[in-house]
Amino acid sequence: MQHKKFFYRLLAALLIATPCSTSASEPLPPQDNSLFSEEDFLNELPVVLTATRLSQPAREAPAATTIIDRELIKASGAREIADLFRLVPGFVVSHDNGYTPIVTYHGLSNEQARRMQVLVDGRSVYSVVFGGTKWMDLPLAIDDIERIEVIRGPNAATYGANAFLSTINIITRHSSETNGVFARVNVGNIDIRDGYLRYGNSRDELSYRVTLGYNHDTGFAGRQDSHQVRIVNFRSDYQLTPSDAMEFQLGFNNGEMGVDSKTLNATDEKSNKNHFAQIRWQHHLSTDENFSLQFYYIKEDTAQTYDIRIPVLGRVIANNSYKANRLDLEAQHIKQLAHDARIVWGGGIRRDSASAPGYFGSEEMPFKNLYYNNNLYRIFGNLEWRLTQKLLLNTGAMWEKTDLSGTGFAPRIGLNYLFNPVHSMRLTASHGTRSPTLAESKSNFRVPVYDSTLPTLPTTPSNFVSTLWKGNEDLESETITAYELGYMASLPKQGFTLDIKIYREELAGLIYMDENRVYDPNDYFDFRYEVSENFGEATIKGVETTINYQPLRDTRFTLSHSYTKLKSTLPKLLPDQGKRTAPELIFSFLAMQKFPRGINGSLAYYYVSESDGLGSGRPIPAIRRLDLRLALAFSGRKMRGEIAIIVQNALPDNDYIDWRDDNIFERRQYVSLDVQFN
Amino acid sequence: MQCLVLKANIDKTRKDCCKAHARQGSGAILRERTVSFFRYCAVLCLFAASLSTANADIFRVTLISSHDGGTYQRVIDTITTHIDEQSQHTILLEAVSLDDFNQHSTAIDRTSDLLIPIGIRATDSIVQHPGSTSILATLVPRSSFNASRKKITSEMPLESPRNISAILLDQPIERQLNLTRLLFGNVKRIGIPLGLSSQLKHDEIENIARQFNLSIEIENIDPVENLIHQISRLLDRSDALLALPNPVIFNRRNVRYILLSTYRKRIPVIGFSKSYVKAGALAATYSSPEQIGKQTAEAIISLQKKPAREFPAAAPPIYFSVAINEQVARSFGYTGLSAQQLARKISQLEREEQ
Repeated sequence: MQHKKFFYRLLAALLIATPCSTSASEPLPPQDNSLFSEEDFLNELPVVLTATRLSQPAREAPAATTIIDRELIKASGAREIADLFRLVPGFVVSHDNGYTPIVTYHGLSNEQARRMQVLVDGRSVYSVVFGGTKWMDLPLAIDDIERIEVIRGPNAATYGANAFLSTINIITRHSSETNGVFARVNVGNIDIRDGYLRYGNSRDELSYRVTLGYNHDTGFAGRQDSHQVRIVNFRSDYQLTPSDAMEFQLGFNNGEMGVDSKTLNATDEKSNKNHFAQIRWQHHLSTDENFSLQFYYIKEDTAQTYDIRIPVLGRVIANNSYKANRLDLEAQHIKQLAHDARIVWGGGIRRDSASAPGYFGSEEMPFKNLYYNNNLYRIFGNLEWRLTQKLLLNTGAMWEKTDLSGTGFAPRIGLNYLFNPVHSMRLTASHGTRSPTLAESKSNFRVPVYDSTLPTLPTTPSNFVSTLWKGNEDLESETITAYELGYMASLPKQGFTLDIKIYREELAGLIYMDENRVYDPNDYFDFRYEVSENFGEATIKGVETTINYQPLRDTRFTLSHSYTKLKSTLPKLLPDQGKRTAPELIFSFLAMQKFPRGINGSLAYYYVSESDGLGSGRPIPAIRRLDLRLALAFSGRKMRGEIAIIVQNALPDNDYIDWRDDNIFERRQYVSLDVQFN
Repeated sequence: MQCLVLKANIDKTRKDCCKAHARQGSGAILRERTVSFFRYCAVLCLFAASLSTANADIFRVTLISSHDGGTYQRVIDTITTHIDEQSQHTILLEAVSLDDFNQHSTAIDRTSDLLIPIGIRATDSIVQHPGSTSILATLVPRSSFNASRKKITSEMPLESPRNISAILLDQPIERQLNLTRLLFGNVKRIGIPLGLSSQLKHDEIENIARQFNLSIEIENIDPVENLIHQISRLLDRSDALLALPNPVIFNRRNVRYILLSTYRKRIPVIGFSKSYVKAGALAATYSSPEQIGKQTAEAIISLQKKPAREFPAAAPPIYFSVAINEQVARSFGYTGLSAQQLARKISQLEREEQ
């Protein structure tokens, strides 16, 4: 098999790199004889903790925020980035197939979770065409992540377009932190074969790293959903002057995935190619004022065709291929206006473009390769003002204009009251909008049917063309109005924090096409197609709780719990559909313990109560899942490493249905070995 | 390029000699580019002038800066202004460049009562020229000053060695600990990486910390071993990190690693300079070139009055400020910190401790 060849080639490269790495750069050589000069006190140093690297303290944030740090990432035993969000209250991680994780917050989602902003180092990575995030196709290795901030609630004033129900903000490690050679290999059942190889180096003001990755497994049992994805990621940071930093990133991934369709009894292969380039300039005017300018380019390229023979009807050719790209330019200015006031404001322009022979089909045959653009302009600002020592005001707004849905305005106001160093509360009201995606607005998914044995049909160019679904150019933006009351307790000495969020969200104009049917007598396939429309409304109420507790230096717990009450009116859906897309109860618990002799153990338990997936439309029973990880760290003079055994879904006889009836999540286990030389 | 600072108002006799190069006025600063012949003449003029006024009540001080401009000029300007205000026209200040000093060290040594090298380059150079004039180095780090002092060359007989002292840049550890205590109270474990060449030894720091009722964790940094591993070991048992000036640990190359890894572990750093704060340390006590200049001027005045035998020991900075990185403080949840208030409180604590 081809993918195995690549894996073993990577393994060979790894083995070759290992002995070489002893000669890898010495990041911090001793310089004891060098004289300390007054310049070491007085000269400027590069600004290391830049505004983009600093997180807002939870006590003062206007929204509930969950931070997943590197320790949690490691302890969770996750191979996939998406799996990390199981630790966040209100989040459900499921799969459309083995390589398509779906990360949702507060339900209402089909396999494209469109109501979420996902940023990697400030770059919006949700799909240009469909709005969901292709988690497996991010050219990003889990080991290169510094931390993930999850902002639960609308937050366009800070995070821009699509920060509708929540925002996931992934921050990668600075390239000066990844010196030397790092390698990781995962091998396990379901043919898990992952390999990562990273080399990084720093020279004075320049640092860089290159990460190569390979990820493979065979997906769910009984489905043709194996995947192999290769990634290359490059990051370089250059300190132009002590006050000017340049960050440059490039990434590329390609992969092949198995495709099956139970309903059509067809299998095929799909290939994905994505790449991006990003450049960011950060200029520090002083410790309390900085300016940044960033530009990025993302390209998605997916190729897939179904060629299905259906008895009597004929041969159906569905082309799911598409090409899309995103260009984005953003400027941001942060200034401490006074001792008690800080402002962040900026603006940006984005152009999303896409072409797809099938999805954006033309009315006549053969299909023209139609090409659609969506230009988006935005300005945003947020003021953080300490009214008194105890009362903090956070107020901001985003204004945007898009080609697809005109203008939108997303204001927010929040008050945080800090009773004392232990207790604090926040009260936030916000309004947000989500403008339609290119697929929701422009799609016209048409499939030609050939070789039909139905009588009285023309024969050229095809017997007939069936429309599967259509976009709607008259769509308006979805809206959300959210109220949140939060309580936080923090006992740093005891290593304890508690965050409770009580909220109410009112959503209107939700865009769906499911079951929104139009009758078409000339479509012999099924005599109908579906059209996007603003027809959904929903009210979501609930409580979300997070507890972090580190009673001892070597012992850490994190617990999250959410109770969600979703009331939705999706009038066109079948009566039992869409009512319980958000599970009522979600629970996660992660315990980490360090033992002597470099032994680390962790245990994660997840519970998701029963729900309906919009993907299959059928009830999904409650899910219980236990993940275990046992690791042994070792180190030498110039190297450190760890070998770990991870078991996912370790409970006996506990195969569960993951989103779709045909996704049966069985026990997965794998061995993970990582080595760092420096 | 050379820079001459003339305290013109105290020295009328020199006026004729240096007419071409001196601009009149209180504390006037002369900066001129001349051909080297003129430069040579000017320097000769100066010494001739100085010799002619060599009477007992004029205290002749030569300032030698390590480099031109910037920081060094700010020190010189502050000294000049301060002497202007305080002294009764009995102090003659002359500023020469290090190149000029190196060329005419014997003459300058003979015509000066006190040499003030500004910065470690000038200090290190001056101690290696033979001479007998007392040296008061200023704007120098302690470790480098101690290294320079060992190289001293003296023409004086052994029984009365050449006087050398300094106004140091290093803040006293007590001051840094006071800042730490004001920011974090006594609950946090303060991690201190200690270099081999550190001025204070392990036990001394522990003693001081005990007096301050602070719990500290010291890691003796072995320069041969991997610094990352050693620092990360220390961070595992610390809640805050205190940076003491040390060229092996807190140099430009390591700043990024130290600040990023401490931030990841949510460990605030107390730095030793304003630039460390700008880079990402939470706070620091530091002294500006002006504050060092002021202290230097006061030391000059007091040295004028004291007999040479009472030459003081190297002194830490008296005047200092507190710097806070507002963005880092915000991220760590330290709100409402005022740098001025902290500095005032530390001064108050220092007075109480005395």
